[in-house]
Amino acid sequence: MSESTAETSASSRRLRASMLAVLVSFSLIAAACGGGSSDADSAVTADDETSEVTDSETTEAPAGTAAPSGPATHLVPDDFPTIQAAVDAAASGDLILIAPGTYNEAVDVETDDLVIRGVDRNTVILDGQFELENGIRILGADGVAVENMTAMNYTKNGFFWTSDITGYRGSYLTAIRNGDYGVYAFGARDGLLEHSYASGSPDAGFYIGQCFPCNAVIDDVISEYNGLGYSGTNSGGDLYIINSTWRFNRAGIVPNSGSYEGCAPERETTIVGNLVYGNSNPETAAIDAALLAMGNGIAVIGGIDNVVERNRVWDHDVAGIAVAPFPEDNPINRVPDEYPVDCLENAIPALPDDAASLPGTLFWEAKTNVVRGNVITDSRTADLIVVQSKEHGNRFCDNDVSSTLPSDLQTLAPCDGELLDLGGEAFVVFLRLIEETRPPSVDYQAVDLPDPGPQPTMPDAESAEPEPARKPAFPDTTSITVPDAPE
Amino acid sequence: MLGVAALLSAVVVVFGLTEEDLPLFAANGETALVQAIDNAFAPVEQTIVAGTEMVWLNRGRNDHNIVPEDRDPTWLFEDDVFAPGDEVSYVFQTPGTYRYYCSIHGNLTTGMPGVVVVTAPS
Repeated sequence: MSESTAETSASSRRLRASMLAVLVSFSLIAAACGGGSSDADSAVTADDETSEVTDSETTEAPAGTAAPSGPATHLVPDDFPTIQAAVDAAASGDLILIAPGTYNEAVDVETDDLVIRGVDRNTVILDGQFELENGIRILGADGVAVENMTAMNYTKNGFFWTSDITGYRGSYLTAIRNGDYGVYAFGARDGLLEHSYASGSPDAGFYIGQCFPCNAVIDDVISEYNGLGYSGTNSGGDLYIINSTWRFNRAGIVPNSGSYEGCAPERETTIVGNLVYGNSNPETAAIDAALLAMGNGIAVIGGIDNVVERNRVWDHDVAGIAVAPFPEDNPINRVPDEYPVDCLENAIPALPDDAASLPGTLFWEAKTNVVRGNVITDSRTADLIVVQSKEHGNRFCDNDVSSTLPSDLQTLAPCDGELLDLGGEAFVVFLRLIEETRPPSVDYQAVDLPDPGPQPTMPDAESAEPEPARKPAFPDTTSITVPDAPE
Repeated sequence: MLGVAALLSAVVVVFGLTEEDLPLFAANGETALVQAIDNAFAPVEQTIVAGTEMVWLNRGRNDHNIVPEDRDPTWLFEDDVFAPGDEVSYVFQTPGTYRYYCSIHGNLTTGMPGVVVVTAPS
């Protein structure tokens, strides 16, 4: 935009300049005399504060049903016509209970410990109509739980927690055809995403990024027809992805590292007991990273110390499970010498003077990951692929596979014992794959998505007590077995 | 230089003027950079001299936008979203404090806020 909007005539400019000179002189005199600005500023601030308090007291009288000492319940639309109005009127710990209907809203939440619940997951629908950005967005509020509803047709995200949050939960959520992520937790710790469904996002159906330790669990979700079923950039540390289904995405489960977010590298994610299949789908919307990872069931891309165990994985154009570096073009920072303690500080990109010394391509190496006890079939390149050398310490054992790259991978890189030379065959294949042209992204608004049908709804949604989100119980993954394939 | 800017700001507050009442300074050919990553501006606060071109470069993996605090701003980008790799810029010619945010990832105080402080040339 040009400065033309600020243009004024020459005469009025001269007049303003003259007035300004007079006013500057006056202010100098006033300041010298001890009068002027400080009192005036205080008065303005006080008036503003009074006005704000008055507004909040008068515009939305709390209409919820409040027990004398307990949380209130705010009904939408009976008490408040919109979800946002109910959220704005609620106090920490309150329940927002939403009746069936379609709500064309983008809701922002900045109050801790709210529970926002639909009465029926399949008929409480937030619809962005491809105009609104986010369905429900939690901004820096701890402990907010969102339950039992659908968000669809948002230009960015269906459900979104962001900005240094401790405590979040999404239960019985459906996210369909949203333009970025379905369910998105960024810079948030102590989270649980459960009993939920996401489809039709160009990025990930489910995403947890920029946190360590994340202290988070994804349990019993279905993610399909997305660019990525799961993506987690620079996340990890007591992060569990369990008992879920990842199918018909471009790629399935993809923990990854990159300099464009803080907290790098990705590390210590545990992936157990999942069904992962058909993630070679060329008919989805997809970001570039999804195109690059296309055809892989589980791909640990530049991640460290992850455990991939007892998953059932089949039908992939490239690999059932791949462990590979991430060659990041035009990075904005370096691979940290030590794992960052402060994720936000780590997110600061290199200063312009320093940026000139950054490499054109930054290699995030995948190191010391363990892939064990998985059942992998029908992979067109190989069931297991590792594109790292033995020095990176990745280990593979007890996997039921018919092909690996390099051959005899589980002998060369066992879970216990000496690591042997892995050769260069996988690197050759890797270089060929990343140069391959993939089917282009499909417009997320137009992509043909399956009808998921009615999804399981939350038990006793109308009567269950609100429970704000807290650090979840971590699963006993040793009790999780390889799931049976669906019939 | 900062003294001049502070004085001008004080004048604006005391006399209820708007930033449009302050003098314009011609473009000086200088540029300053703010990087938009996922999901923050870096630096969050950037101080420049009036006449400097402020450039926002998206170096993240998500779309971002620049929404001014003022509902009737004197500066505004015609394209509301800039994609990864893209940039937008604006020459600030009037001293003042310009707060903004990415509406996709936050608001003026939480998520992805930023501020440009424009000082008068010495």
